[in-house]
Amino acid sequence: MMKRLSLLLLLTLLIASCQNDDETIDPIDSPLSDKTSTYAGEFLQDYITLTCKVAQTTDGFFPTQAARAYGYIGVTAYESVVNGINATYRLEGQIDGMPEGSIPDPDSNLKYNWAISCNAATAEMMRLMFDLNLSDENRNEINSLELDNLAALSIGGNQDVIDRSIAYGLSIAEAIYEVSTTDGGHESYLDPFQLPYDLEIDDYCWVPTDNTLNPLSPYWMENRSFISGIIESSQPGEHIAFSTDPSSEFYGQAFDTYQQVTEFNADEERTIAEYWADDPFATCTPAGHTFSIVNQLLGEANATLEKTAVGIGMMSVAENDAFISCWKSKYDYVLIRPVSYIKEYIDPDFETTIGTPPFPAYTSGHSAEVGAGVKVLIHLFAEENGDYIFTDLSQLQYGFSARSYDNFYEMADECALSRFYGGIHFEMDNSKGLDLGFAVGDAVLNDISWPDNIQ
Amino acid sequence: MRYVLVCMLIFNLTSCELSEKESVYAQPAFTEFVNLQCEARKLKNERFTLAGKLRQDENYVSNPDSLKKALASQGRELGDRIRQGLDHFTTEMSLDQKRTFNDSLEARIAQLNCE
Repeated sequence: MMKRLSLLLLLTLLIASCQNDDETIDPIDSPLSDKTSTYAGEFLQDYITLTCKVAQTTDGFFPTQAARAYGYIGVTAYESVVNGINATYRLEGQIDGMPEGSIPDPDSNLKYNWAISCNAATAEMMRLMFDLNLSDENRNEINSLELDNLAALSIGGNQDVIDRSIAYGLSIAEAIYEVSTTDGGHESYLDPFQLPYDLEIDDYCWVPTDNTLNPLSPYWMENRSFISGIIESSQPGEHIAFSTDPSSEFYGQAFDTYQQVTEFNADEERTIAEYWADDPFATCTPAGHTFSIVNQLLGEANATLEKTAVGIGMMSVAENDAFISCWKSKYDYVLIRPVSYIKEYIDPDFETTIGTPPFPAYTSGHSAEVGAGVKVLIHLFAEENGDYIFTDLSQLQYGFSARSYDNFYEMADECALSRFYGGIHFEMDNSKGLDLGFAVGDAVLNDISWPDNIQ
Repeated sequence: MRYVLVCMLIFNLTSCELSEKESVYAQPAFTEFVNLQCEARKLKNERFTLAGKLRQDENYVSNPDSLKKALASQGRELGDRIRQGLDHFTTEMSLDQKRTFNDSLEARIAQLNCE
């Protein structure tokens, strides 16, 4: 009898020990709620599409401000659903400025609809990020998208669950917005040029390249990044020493840009320059283009809300931090743009292929953000070597032909090179910019714990 | 015999899918989409051309800001319609089908002299 009881006990213990650790319920998880992966991700992708349009049409949203807006929108979307994935991977406690206890917990004894929470949180954060300059038209578009999504997501749902989920989503947005108010970039769209700023005067220094007399966001590097310490650790180091000597390496860099534009650019190079510039007058900025790509790929993968939120969350951290880091190098060195140098020392009649944006050269913003972005894209979709066949259809809407790629790194190279073809960067701005971006992207993947095996 | 019937069934189903997708390019909606894209290309070229002219001569036009806004606004409206069209056509397409779609689009646009 005792022997049988012992055997039974042993068997029971054996079965219990075989239980998968992943099934252990984190005390913050909400076991009553359906997992985030049970919801489709399309509605969140629609918000990203709308963010592009809003950024294009809202005053004050230049590349820096737009990257920050995307940053907080994506982080909010992710944080609003992470409890339906695995609460261990909350960004609270991982992101600088968002310590443990700063973000509300769901009630683990109650049921939530994570999609409804995400819908409420994302819409609210969009309104907050563009707030004081948000047009009525754009506000109505956000509101309409929110209501339409809510109607669709609420079908067959319990009203208490719906109300609770909305409230939770709003509380997430509110809490993260509070975090954002102390990062140094709060409402920066009201004063994107952060005046006053005393321009350094020296031969190597940036000078206005058009009628925009002040450079953009000279204090952006002081913003708090999401990843602690990344701004310093991703810095590319000094550029090639400035010189006006025709035998110098710096002169060679400038001459290469000059020669590319005046002798080597054919239709293809001009197309590439325009393609990555998006538009001469109103773009959703370089970060917006990268978000359009990740959005398209998530859609093509029929990504669930889990994968969409993780993908957008990662990209948000990457883009926000890439711009802060890039802007540090820009204003540490305040380097003259090729067009100014070339006109002074090589050819006074030189004209660039595309317009030179109003900020210093080293390093290239496009290169930095695409470098960070492709690290996320590779993690989400590709082999480690970056191989992934896709056609970027995101620019068709702006009148461009689609472009096809076999490898994300090659896409990043083309984006970086586009600025050289455009005549607006030295080669070193792009290569070092990519290095900076890759460092940020690697940090996004390695310094933050994200859910794995996402669906 | 059963095996043959199953093969025929599978063949018919796949050829139906192919025919269905191929017939997209014969639809009036596709022609409309091509025309929209053509318009968008011309507008894009106008924007970049204007930007280039203004870089050379900021007095190229008397009211550049309002012209820029008008072009940008036109572009956005067109962009919205193109995005809707793209969703309509490509949402259910595989990656290979999207490439075929893009190739077909470019071939049709090439005939229209849009650039």
